Amino acid sequence: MTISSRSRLADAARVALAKHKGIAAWQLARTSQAGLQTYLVKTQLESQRQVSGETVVATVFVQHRDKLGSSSLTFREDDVLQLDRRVDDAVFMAGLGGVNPWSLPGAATFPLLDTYDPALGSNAVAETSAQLADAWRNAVKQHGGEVRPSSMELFCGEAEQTLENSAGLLAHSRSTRVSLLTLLLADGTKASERYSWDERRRIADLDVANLVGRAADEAHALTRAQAPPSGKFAVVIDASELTGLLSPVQNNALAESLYQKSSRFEQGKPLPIDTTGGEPFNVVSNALMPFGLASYAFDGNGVPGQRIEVIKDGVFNRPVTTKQYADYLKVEPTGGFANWELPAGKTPLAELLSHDGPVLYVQSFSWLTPDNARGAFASEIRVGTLYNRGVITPIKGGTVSGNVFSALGTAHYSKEVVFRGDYLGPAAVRFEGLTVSGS
Amino acid sequence: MAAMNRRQFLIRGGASLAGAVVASSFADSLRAATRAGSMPHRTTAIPHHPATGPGFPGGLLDELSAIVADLETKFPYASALFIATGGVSISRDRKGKRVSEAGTPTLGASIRIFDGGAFHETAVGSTSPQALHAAAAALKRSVPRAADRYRIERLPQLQQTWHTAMERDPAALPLKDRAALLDQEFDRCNWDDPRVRGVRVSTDVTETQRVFVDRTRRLASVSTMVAHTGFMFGFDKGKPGFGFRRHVGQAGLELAHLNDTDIEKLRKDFVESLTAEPVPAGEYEVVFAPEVSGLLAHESFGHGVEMDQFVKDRAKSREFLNKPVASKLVTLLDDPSFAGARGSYAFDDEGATAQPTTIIKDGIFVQPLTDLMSATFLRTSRTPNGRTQSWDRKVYARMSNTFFARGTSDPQEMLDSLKDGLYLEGFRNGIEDPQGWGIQFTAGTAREVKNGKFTGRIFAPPTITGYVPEILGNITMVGNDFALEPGSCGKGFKEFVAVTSGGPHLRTKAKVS
Repeated sequence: MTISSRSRLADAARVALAKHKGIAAWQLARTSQAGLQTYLVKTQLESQRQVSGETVVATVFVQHRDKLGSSSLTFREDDVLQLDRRVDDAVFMAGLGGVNPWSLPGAATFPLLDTYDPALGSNAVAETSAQLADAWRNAVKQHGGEVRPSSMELFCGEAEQTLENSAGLLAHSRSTRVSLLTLLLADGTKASERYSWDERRRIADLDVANLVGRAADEAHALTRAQAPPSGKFAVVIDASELTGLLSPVQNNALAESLYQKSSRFEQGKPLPIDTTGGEPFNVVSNALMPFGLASYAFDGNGVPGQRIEVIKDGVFNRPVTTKQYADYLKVEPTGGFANWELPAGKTPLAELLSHDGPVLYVQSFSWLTPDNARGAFASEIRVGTLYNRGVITPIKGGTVSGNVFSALGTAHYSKEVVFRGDYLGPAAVRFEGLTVSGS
Repeated sequence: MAAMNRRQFLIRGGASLAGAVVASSFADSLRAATRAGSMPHRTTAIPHHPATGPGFPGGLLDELSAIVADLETKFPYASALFIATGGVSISRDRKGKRVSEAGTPTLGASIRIFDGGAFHETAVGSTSPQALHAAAAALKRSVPRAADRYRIERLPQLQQTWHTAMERDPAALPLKDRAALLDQEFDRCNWDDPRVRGVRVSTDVTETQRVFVDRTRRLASVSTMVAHTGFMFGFDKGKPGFGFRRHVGQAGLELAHLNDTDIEKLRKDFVESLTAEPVPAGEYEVVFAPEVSGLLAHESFGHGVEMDQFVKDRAKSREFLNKPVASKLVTLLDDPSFAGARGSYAFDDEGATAQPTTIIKDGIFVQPLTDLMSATFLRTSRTPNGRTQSWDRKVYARMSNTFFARGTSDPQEMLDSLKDGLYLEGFRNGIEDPQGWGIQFTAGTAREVKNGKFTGRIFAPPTITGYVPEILGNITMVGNDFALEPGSCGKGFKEFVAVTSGGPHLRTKAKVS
């Protein structure tokens, strides 16, 4: 199970693309991946899978009248002997469509990023996987009095990507990823479970003992959980749910949304947020974050990764834009949306959780899927804790509902900062007056 | 490798889960059809596999059979699965048109052995005999034979190939003509209303080739899936609105058309959604439209009875086998053999041929859904529900087409019976809680009903939560109608497979917020 940095298919595809006379521009993206998947039932091996593969995708652009047609085709290894015909196919398809013209980025200097952990590379992945599985078993054993294991899934692997185009761009990157699914069960007044899915780029950022410990504590607490009281009160939402909660912000901040006129944001103007006592809202899209899951040296079209202030003190500072939409909007391309970076707040988490009345801390929703246009959301509480005049009660069930844009006007951010793979920012955010429907 | 993570899903998410479907290209057949005027047999859509030769599955069956036979000289069980997808997407909006590959094409094979206690697999993105044999040899070499703790149930001998039945084969219509048809469709959907900011129409045609081989089975299928969608969005006084219609199924281009009623509904939904308000949270008497009934079926006794969760002690339903779990009016099935549905297949990814499974009969939970692992470890018989997202992912126990059986009530009478409640329709998403029996699913809209009449008030998006036995136990009317809604189903937040869910209208009580 190895990754080869040379590809006969990609080499042949480059030649076929370059010599085709009907092509105005082309792009060739090669991704090579290898990994090991380990599945445990309780602590016993259920299955282990080795996976490897290579993908070569060519995109051709053809000019006709005032439009630019484009089409992508994935080449397979058995296409090597018929690439001319396959490129013909792509050109033919591209000629059937067309959008306003835009240009591919040319040669550039790309940032050197930390996205690769040799321990997850092909030569070490078997040993690393075995060590992580053992660490998981040991961590579960440490909490044997509170919980028992249901299952674990562990994916370790590496990927290598090369991007080149007819404008002279040539870019190369490699990265690793480790993903851990933990399922723990707890018995008590009520049987309960805790599901946790954690992904990182390097082993050093995956603290298995801590992740299992947190899941065990939550599973154990849930055996005494009850539904929350109904009403409108303060809700503190954990960092692990914030990227989901903020997806309407991301969606509205994309240049594509501005171009399609589906965004509610206007560049240089405050967001549609009624600020009612909250702290200023700031969002950075950071492609350069060391070992960030969404870090990249270059995006899908070869725009160098950057750190972009998207929202600054509640004002829509700059859209996140690929090259195509940057050309349309006549702005500098930033590359695609990367890792979330939010500044730390001023208030310790413990203080955010204290209040005269009830404060609900939601560690995990069942599935938080806000309406990207309206900002409306409602989700069941999977793991929560109610703080009410010194009494702490585990919570499961009931829903929290509200509107992301309204809620942001009341937001207070924790002083503590956490890194969660594609998020670096406050450990939790407190919102006032959200609707809680429970008992 | 192509799994959509939770974040990608959220960003892509819209009115439906169907965006998660794998898709891709069979440009060769298109090229041949469009240029030479010929009509290639669709099984050559992903051509020139060295192992298969010009016709699918060709030599691939023999190649994989030889690998399986060799592995079984050491291990008690071996199997091989090949999956390839390819397709073309044509989309048109007010900014232009694009004709390209649909989604992410995939091609590869997974070779699996059972060592007596656990499964081991190698998956390679290739069909070259050299690559397959090398991977199999490495697997054979690296895995020791273990003591026999479990025995794999052998299925009866079968060798068969299946193709999708269709009225208008996509390969028979030149791509240029298909693109022109989509232009006409766009012109019909486009609406010169100042509130409309965008209109998009698309047709995705994808083809999936699959081969499964073990000692008793040599199975192949070629399935064609068509997804035809019309979407409209806009704003009125700063409030967003959407309309959405689609036809999805395993069929030909007969699905690639929105009729006048569809377009009228698309525009009506858009206009009505501009006035939608947040739902006042509370418990309501509700009538679910079939697609919302399907969400309930899927998230309650669909995920909740996937038997791999039994092995993991994760399914509360295990304690309720052969016990009442729902109103006596409720019968619930999973049926991969349902003709033409998005979740249908001829055989699952472990070689079990499709047949319906009755999960709940007259309110009693009678049968879970299995994959090979759970059936083997729990020593029970198999249902045809072992499925994988792709050749590079693991097989799990999964649903196919999951639905409530028809009842006897007229849907209009069900609506008339609502004194003060909500009519929920449209399909967004849902999530399971097999251990806690909680449930969350989100419909498209909720219409306020007073004394059996719509008041005109619309709420969006309504999220339904509750305790599974309560919602199922409170079902008092089951409609005599039936419809299935296409979607994509994840196991947790990954491992997406094509499914449908549905049934008739249902009347129950639910918490909506």
